[in-house]
Amino acid sequence: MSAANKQFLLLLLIVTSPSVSWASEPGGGVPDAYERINRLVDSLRFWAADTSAAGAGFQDQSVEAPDSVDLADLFPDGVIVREDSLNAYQITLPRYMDMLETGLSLVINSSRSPDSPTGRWTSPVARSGDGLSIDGRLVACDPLIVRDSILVDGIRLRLTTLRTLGLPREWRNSHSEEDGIPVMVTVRGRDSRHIEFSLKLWLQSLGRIASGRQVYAGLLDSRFGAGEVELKYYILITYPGAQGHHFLEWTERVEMSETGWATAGIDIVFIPYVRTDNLKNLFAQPERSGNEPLELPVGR
Amino acid sequence: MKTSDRLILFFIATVLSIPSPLWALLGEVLIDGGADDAFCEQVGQHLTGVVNAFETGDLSAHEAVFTPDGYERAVDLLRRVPMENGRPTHRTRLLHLPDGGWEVRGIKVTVKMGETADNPVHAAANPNQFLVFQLTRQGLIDDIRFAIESIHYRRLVEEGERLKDFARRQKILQTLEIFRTAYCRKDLDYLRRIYSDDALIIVGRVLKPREDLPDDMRWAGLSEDRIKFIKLTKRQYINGLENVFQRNAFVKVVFDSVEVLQHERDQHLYGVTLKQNWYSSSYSDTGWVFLLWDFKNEENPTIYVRSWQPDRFPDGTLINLYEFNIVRSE
Repeated sequence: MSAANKQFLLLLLIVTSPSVSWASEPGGGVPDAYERINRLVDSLRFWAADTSAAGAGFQDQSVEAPDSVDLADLFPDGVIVREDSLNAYQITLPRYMDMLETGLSLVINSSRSPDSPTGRWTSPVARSGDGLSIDGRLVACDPLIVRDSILVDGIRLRLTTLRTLGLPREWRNSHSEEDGIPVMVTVRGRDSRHIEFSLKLWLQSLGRIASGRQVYAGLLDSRFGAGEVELKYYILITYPGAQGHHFLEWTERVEMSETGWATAGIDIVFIPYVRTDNLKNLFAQPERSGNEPLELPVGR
Repeated sequence: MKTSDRLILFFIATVLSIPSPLWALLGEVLIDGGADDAFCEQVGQHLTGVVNAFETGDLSAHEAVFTPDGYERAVDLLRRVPMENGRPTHRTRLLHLPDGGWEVRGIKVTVKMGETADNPVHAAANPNQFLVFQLTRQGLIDDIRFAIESIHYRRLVEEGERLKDFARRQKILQTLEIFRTAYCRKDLDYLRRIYSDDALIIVGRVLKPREDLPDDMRWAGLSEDRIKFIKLTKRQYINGLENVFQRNAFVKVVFDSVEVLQHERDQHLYGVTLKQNWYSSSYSDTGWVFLLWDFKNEENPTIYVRSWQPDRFPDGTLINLYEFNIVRSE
């Protein structure tokens, strides 16, 4: 493929990228679920195969102090509180469907120099007795994971990375990820499509999809096995007034190696374009008619 | 004093002179897994001794089974929170910690609440608590702490279940959108796949009055609800759908008012009730659709029941999840 063709293809993909088409969703002539998911899968396949920019955007980068950029622009509808005693900003996204909460702290370094970052992101993750407190709420987590400070730090770091995905690239939380960590992404639509990524490329791709959106992330489940830990996170990417959102399950296998805990692989289940605009009740309560139920034998 | 009275007094005096630990409920810690048998037995004996010594508040006879720091911490804990063994047998396992040590959980104790006139114990305070023993690689007790209160643990688990259910419902909502689009796309392959071969399809037909008859005779012979429910097999339904798709240049389906309900006993079964607006070249209608959906295989969810009714029943209800009893054959 010639350079010009490649450029044209790249431009075409940007124009038809999932976030761009998604933004125009409320208007008329909206592509249907099949088309939108197909476009998303095409974009993901292209990004997964793109090795030219691999890693370029994920080097450790410092965060500019919020003197120059208004945090309110980055977190519309979020609650932003400056805590002078901690020299930090506490940011809380609006609660999603009375269900999901996501908070971030931006801790400002008092000594600014060209060599040191001027701020760092963190998420409110802490041990609370035998449980794990995330955003001030107890979350179900295997007690053996809770007791391991390295694993708890890992959870905090992963959540911080996920929660800052919607920010401009230079504002995202980043840490040296191993490029070789394999990520298998399964996009659920009419059919399930599987796409292989490296972790860096996957985070880049997810950053493109989440850019400018509100990103909710939390711990969904955890399991402690023999020398292996499985952590399942959720990610919900939305924006105020959106007719649909993306929901992802991020399952990370962490194994004990000679050097300590290390991520061995990540499986993603990507459920794109979930519509909630016509939703009357997600958690309806049973209402029995009192009739004798009809017995339906099923084969599995 | 009669001999029998003397004997009773002697017995009472003897009982009163018995050291206090025997007044308490004696317990035994049985470790039945998590490490080799000899190690389990050794740890079980150590913990049995320690648990039974709680009542006296004196752990000195068992100092050898603690690390120096662990002993200090245990003595301090016992000084601040007097407690005694809470059940005759503690059957539990050794849990291997990532740093190479061990943990023993679920040792029930009764905490002495220390209620006084100035310090009333809260009514909700629970004297029964569970201890967690943290052991070194060699099995020495390095720390004793209270496990998370069960009421908190239950809340924590419930929250977790609710969150998992939330994740599942995201899949349902998306599958519903794909399902709706399949009708608009006339995608029979997908519809064939998503309906179970045993699916029960119920179609409600509104019975129209005969216009050629006088008013008082128009409804004669019709059912009270003026709706006739027809049961179809999957094949009948799909064949009918194929004809509709062929006859109509376009089909558009819109869902409003989506309600998702999880089955009380079978966590994979969901009832989805929605108001369906059907538009096509030759026909349009509005009605209530109920889908009984099985998400046991999340990659290939299956519909067991689809019902359509033009309106609610006179009592305001619709066909719902509890009209059906799914019997799974393994």
